[in-house]
Amino acid sequence: MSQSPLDSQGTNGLISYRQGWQALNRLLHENKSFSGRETNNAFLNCGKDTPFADVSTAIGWDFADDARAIGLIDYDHDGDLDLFVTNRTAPRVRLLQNNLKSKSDFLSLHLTGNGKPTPRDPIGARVEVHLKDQPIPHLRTLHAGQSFLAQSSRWLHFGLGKKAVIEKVIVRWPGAKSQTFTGIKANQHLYLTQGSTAVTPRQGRQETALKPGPHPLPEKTSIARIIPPAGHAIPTLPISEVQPVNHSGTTLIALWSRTCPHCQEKLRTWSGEAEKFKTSGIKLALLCTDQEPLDEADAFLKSIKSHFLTQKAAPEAVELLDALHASIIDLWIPIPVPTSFLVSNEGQLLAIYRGPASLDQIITDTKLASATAEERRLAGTPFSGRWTGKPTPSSPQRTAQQLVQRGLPDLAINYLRSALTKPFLQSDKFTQSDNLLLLGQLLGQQERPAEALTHLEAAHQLLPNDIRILRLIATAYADTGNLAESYATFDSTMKLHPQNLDIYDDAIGIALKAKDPTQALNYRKKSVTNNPRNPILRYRLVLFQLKKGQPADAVANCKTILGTSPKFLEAANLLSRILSTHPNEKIRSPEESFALASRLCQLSKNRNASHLLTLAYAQANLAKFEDATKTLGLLTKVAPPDSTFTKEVNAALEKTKANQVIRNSYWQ
Amino acid sequence: MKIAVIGIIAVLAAPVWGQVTETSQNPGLGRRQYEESLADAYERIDPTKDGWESEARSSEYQGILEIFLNDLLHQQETRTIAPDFKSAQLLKPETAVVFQNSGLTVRRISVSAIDAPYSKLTPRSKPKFKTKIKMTSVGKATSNSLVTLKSPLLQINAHWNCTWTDTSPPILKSIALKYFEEVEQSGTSQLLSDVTASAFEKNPSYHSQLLRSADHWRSRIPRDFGLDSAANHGLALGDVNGDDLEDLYLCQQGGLPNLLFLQNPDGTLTDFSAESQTNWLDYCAAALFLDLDNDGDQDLVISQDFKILFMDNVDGKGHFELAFGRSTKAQSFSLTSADFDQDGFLDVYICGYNPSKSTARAGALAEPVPFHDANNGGQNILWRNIGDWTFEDVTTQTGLDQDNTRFSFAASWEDYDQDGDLDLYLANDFGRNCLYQNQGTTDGKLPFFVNIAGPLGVEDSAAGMSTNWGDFNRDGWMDLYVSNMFSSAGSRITSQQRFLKELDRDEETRGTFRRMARGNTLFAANGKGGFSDVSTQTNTTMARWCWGSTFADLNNDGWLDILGANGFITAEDTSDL
Repeated sequence: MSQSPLDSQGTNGLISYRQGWQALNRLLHENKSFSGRETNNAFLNCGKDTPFADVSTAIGWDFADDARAIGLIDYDHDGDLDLFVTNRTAPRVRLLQNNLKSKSDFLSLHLTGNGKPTPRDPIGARVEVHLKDQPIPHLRTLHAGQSFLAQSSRWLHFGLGKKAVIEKVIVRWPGAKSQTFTGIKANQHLYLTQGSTAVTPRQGRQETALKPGPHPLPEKTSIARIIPPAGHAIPTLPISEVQPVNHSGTTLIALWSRTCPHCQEKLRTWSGEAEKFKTSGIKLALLCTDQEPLDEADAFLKSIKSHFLTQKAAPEAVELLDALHASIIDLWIPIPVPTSFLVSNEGQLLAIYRGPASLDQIITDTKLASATAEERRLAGTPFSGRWTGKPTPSSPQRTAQQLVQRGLPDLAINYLRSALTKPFLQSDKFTQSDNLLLLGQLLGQQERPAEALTHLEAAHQLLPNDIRILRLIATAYADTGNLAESYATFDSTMKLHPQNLDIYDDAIGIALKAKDPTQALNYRKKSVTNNPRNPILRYRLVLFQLKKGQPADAVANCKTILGTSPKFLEAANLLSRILSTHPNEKIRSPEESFALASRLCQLSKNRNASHLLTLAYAQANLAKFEDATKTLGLLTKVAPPDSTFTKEVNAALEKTKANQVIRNSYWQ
Repeated sequence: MKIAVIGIIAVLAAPVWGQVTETSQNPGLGRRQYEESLADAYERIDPTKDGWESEARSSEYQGILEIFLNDLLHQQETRTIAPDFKSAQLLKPETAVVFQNSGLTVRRISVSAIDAPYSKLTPRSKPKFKTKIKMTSVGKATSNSLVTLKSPLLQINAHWNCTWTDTSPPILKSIALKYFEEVEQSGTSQLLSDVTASAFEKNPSYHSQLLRSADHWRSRIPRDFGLDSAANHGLALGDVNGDDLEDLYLCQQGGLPNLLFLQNPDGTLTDFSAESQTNWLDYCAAALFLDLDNDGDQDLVISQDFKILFMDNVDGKGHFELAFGRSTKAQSFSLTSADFDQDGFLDVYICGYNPSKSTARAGALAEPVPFHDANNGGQNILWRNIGDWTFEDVTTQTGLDQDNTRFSFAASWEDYDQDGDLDLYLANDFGRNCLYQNQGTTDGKLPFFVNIAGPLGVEDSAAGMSTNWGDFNRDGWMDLYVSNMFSSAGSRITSQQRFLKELDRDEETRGTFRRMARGNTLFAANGKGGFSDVSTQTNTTMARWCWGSTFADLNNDGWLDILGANGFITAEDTSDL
């Protein structure tokens, strides 16, 4: 929030703000609480003109569940409202029964429409329950979808207070005449049907078997068998052949630590199944994550008479595997030991096992190597159900981005390069061009523009009009020193996407970096020519022209902006300042400046510091020094204290107190 | 999503590995490194690192207040106070009964004066309270806080305004009691009791799916299936098999099937998801039971990620068939229905949040620009039911395409102006909400809507999450309650001068930002088609990070109470962001 740019124009601010969101998103991936452990709230209506009371705890509603949706229902038909609620934490649903013991009366109504013009389900019907001696009826509307992600019962529930005598019930049917029902007594559930005066009571129901009782929640576990979607490549790990059994089969890469009892147990079991590993064609690659030399690990393997050999897991290998794991699931818990990765002979990831895994399960999972994408998706969830569409193709981008975020761009580049050659990579041209784009972008960031160009051109072949690719190509050309080709790319892209604003920023940035201000101004003008009604682009041109010493053009452009976008207050503010403080007398227009500034302050109710300063300048310029001093006084109440802005205000104050006009040197 | 980026204490890089019994922390994984630009962003969202001096002071004051409160409850000697410490009677002030019904009594403070030394303050060691202190504003030597004392049948809600010495560590000089409310339930049981287990326990899906948190599934089902940290999943109630007992449909994250539970005569529930063909595995936020074809049974509408499904209840017994499905233009949230054009067929409005799939799935959060008035979200759509299981997108021709990309969470129809047609209120996450007034029809055209939230003063510029209509004050007009987030850190930071200085923001902007962290809003209808914001005087703002909130007369006294579902993300780490 503190980082939010006030408009979407400040490019740097926006990037920094977006990074803030990305960082925040990342924290949520990393199992961090955020406004967690908050309890549900209940406010009791204490009656007319009395504030509500917080009764969350006293009524038994203050669960700290990360709750989401509430559905109200008289579930047991006993005349009070019970409720269902969904939660983010376990249990993810609760049913709460209302134990009200009250002498207050109620009425519960079910409505049926005539089908034309009122729907059978008369959603939107307004019901008034008129009580004797009460001038204002109790109101309910039949809603379908209120609150958040919730639909409550179709039965409209009215609490009526004590000793309620119902005079009449009026139903305002949607799209039709309203209807009055009489002779209705409180404390009933009744069916009302449009057009019929008959009122049918709801049939009684048997006593419910609901009992208050605690939820025994299952113990939390880190054990998991994760079946990723098809198409994920295992990164190239800095390991050599460990225990060759069968080269053409699958490989199980198993991380372990000598100090971890579960790893020891697992290795004992597996060592007894060495023959089965062999016959099923599974090669076991043991990677020991311990920091110390392997002697102790070897000794342990020897002690359990294992024929398996282990090697050290280089930190880079662990990082790569952790990045792969995190790219597949949403909650990025660090991989524990033991964790194993089942990999096909083509290098495709088939399964991840956190914690122990039985060899029989692993053998079954080797069949995933030949499964279709849909079969893989079905295997990815432990539950059966239906999907609406086809699986989306996997992409190596997430793993690459994981590595980038860990500050390992070279590993990301290597991973992408290798993954893009895999035969099992299933991707449509959009995903594929995105893959190439990311590779090109990373290479560009690593100052390898020539290599970047190769991949970007390949991406361009797939999606010739994609602006993101074209922008990177133009930048890469400039980075290789081929400025002509860069400008040519910018020019053709601007023709293709005249309304894309980023392309102008890119081009201007490149031109300025190449110390070519003329070209930069050309692009700035072009952005305005191509988007004549875009006030922001024109405003940027104004700033540029002021810097270039073209105040007359700047003033003209400001006026154009205000002609098409009168609410663009920045332009009005700037224009007023130019017109009162510019050193060039031909540019100044004191009355106009004052009128603009007065209007601005009126609009912002004298609470916008920048507008007030502008007004002070305008007043000083008209020799209304006392007014200007007053305005500056007003300003200090709303201005950010001790900022650079304050210096400007103080300088202005000195001038106005000395009855001097103010000229701003920064126009030149 | 509700993000006060201020207000987050990021505990970075310490891998959390709590209740692990079958695995061990991987010694090969060291401290996480971040690329430079992100590392910078992390620094900025950590308020202590962000340089907000109030945040450091706030936690210091809070720690001392917690010790003081604990000492006070048992009247122990305390080292937290200055020698000349003066206070109001904090735990047993003079009160008057303001409400009494069905065993529930509410008492409120009648007189408050700062005149007692510590030794004269009445202790209160019984019942055993759980205490919670929330700092709402912190000045140089002052602090305001909300103090809650909870026990199952007694709850105390108070506001303490404190002054402090300028020493290190600071100690308390005085405490004024700005508010005191005591709520007591007589007897031995609370109004609500949790009967979940007895209703669900015969179903394997309850044990295997619902007794596991969203985080459990987020750490094992592939993310591509549609899982995120926010886990915004709703429910619908309706009688799908015509037995006069209403059934439950539960929406779930991707990879977990939506669940349809039929209610049995004894109140237990039976999983009917597979038989009903409603066990969709796609990410699903919301659903509605509606009679869409006027055949007398309850059909089903489902809001999925970028999809909406209309299912026909083919036999009136809860067997459904997909009759109509379309892509939407957004990650979709709440659904709301009404026959807006009065043609006898129920129409459906669907709220859109993230505009693109990649954004949606890059994380739970969006990137709203600007934060306090974002208009770069996904589109909401009004689906008009033209009969025969055909639905058309009429968003544009009805005027609902105005202010339509504001990260909408929820919407609700109501004839708020009592002119005989239905209007629509829309809660948006980052800034202004909409009230679309139905202008009626001319020449057989569809009704046209105009957003009049601004002129009516119901924009409620904040992080809107739910909308509710109800006549809470019984004046015969529908009032409006909107969930937002309450951020105490947000209140603290926006209230200090530093906010202006560091961010180079002026009062105009500060007001906007401050409003965003205020909390829920209650708009009372004025009986002339307008509203006034009565949140503060009715004590209905401070509902924390509130998602679903709803009016409900829980005690049948004829006055609508308010329930709120709270909390964003509770993880295993102990330090909350």
